[in-house]
Amino acid sequence: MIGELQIPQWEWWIVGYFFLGGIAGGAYFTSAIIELVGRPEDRPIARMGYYIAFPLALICALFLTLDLGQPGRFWHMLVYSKTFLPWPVWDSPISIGAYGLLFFGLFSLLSFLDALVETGRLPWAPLREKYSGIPRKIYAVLGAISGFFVASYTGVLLATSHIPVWSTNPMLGALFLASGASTGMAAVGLGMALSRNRIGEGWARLKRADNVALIVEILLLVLFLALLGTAAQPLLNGINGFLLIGGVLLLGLVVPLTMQFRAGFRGIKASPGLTILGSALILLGGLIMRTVIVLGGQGLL
Amino acid sequence: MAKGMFVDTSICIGCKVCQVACKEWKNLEGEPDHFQEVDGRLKAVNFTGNSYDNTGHLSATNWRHVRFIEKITPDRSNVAWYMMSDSCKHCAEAGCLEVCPTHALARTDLGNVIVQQDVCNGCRACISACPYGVISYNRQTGRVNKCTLCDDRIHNGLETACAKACPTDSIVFGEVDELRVKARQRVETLKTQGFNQAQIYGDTDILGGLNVFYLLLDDPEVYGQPRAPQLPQKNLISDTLVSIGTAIVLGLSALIAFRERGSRSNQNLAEEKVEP
Repeated sequence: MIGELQIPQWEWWIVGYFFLGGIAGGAYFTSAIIELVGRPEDRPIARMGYYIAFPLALICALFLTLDLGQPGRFWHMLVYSKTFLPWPVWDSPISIGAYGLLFFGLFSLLSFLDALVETGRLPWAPLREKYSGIPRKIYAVLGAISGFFVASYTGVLLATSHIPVWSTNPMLGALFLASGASTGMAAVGLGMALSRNRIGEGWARLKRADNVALIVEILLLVLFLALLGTAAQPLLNGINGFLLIGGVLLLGLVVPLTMQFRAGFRGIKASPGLTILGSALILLGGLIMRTVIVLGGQGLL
Repeated sequence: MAKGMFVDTSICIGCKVCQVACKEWKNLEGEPDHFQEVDGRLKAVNFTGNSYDNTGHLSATNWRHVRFIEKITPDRSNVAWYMMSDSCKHCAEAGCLEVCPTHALARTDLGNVIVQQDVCNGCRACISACPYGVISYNRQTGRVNKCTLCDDRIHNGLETACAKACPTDSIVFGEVDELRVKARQRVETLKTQGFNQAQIYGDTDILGGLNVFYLLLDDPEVYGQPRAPQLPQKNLISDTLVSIGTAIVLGLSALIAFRERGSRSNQNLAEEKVEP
């Protein structure tokens, strides 16, 4: 309990879902942007985003289900169990979020299959004919919108409560969105580095977009904490403060941003080792941020 | 017409019969944290040490909780001992009901808010949406629980179990509108007797009106009640707008990054060197 308030006891499944949902949304968004305005040589980056987004969307649905007190009733989120008809609750972020995750899963599946067909990894002829005819840009845009929704609604969900850390200011949805974008791009970068893909200038463009996401995230995090005022104490005291300032702000945001800027100013491309390190730090920062906000906000950390 | 309860704390004697009646009628178990097996025997443990209160708070197995408040002035010259039988308020504008994604939380024709146990999937969104800490997660069932205003009794012409058992009529069940008139009269009576801070908590000014409302002898905060709770949905629009604004900034910056740099790609690629 926090004072007289009961806490929902959202723990690691939810932390994991928020984290992976952000990565999935951000990775798909990156791919969609390339789909819309990217150059042919950027296609490997776009495919990497699609390879990341769909499996993570599946894992997100699994985590969300496992967190339920009655996992067998996961479908109650989408359909009223007494009529078996869809009945979204517009004032409920969880209800709308469940539909959002469903749509995102659908679009990310289409793109995932599309990428497999494109590279010849899915040689089944009927599917190949079907998917080559579908206008990829349309579902890339719809998928990017639903992906961004999945990345940000989790923050809005927390804000729609009486827990002081979550509900005192309107920054949480935006903060989770920016974190989703930065971790999604970091995951794509990490995937490219680990798969030893040579992507030339596309790499610089990805890093440039990632830098903006990191700067926006730093600004939003500082603004979030500043606007919380005294309500920020649970996040800034003790281990939570160490994790949030040291782990998220410095190690997860400022250090990788500095590394990427340094490489950019010198006109050099970071080595695979540094790229892996920078991406891993961004991902670690995103995980710690969700952990501190979700668990620390409930007094569970 | 909405049914509800008027809880007059000025005549509550803290006997906890209402708690017992609630547990009896609803067949609620003892609070797991308060009973442990010691040397082969079940013993009461974890006493709160707070006045006569060993319940502590509402929970999945305590749908009613008699609060004991000892208000002592700093110089200890004046002591007030308040009791308040607390439960779900069955708010006219209920945050729990509005955030429930499965429609498990529902309002009946008599205005009481219930949890449909066959629909609830244990997502727990309703818990943090309640400003009173009423709804609780039951780990045994994987669902949430709270007072139903004795839905089974009131739909069969009976009053709630707690109101039926209350020996002083501190808890009165009836039509909400009629109860409000009675409560206002009672406040006036108490004020003429010198209880200047006597007030109704839960008139139409709070969350559209609480169907279970209180007569308090002091400020709401003294009884652990928020002065002016609001629906958690008040944050929805502002949070969504800030998120959309951020999405636009991120989207445009990524578009620019991937488009503008594209025109110079070949030149930059040639100049690139890999850091050792």
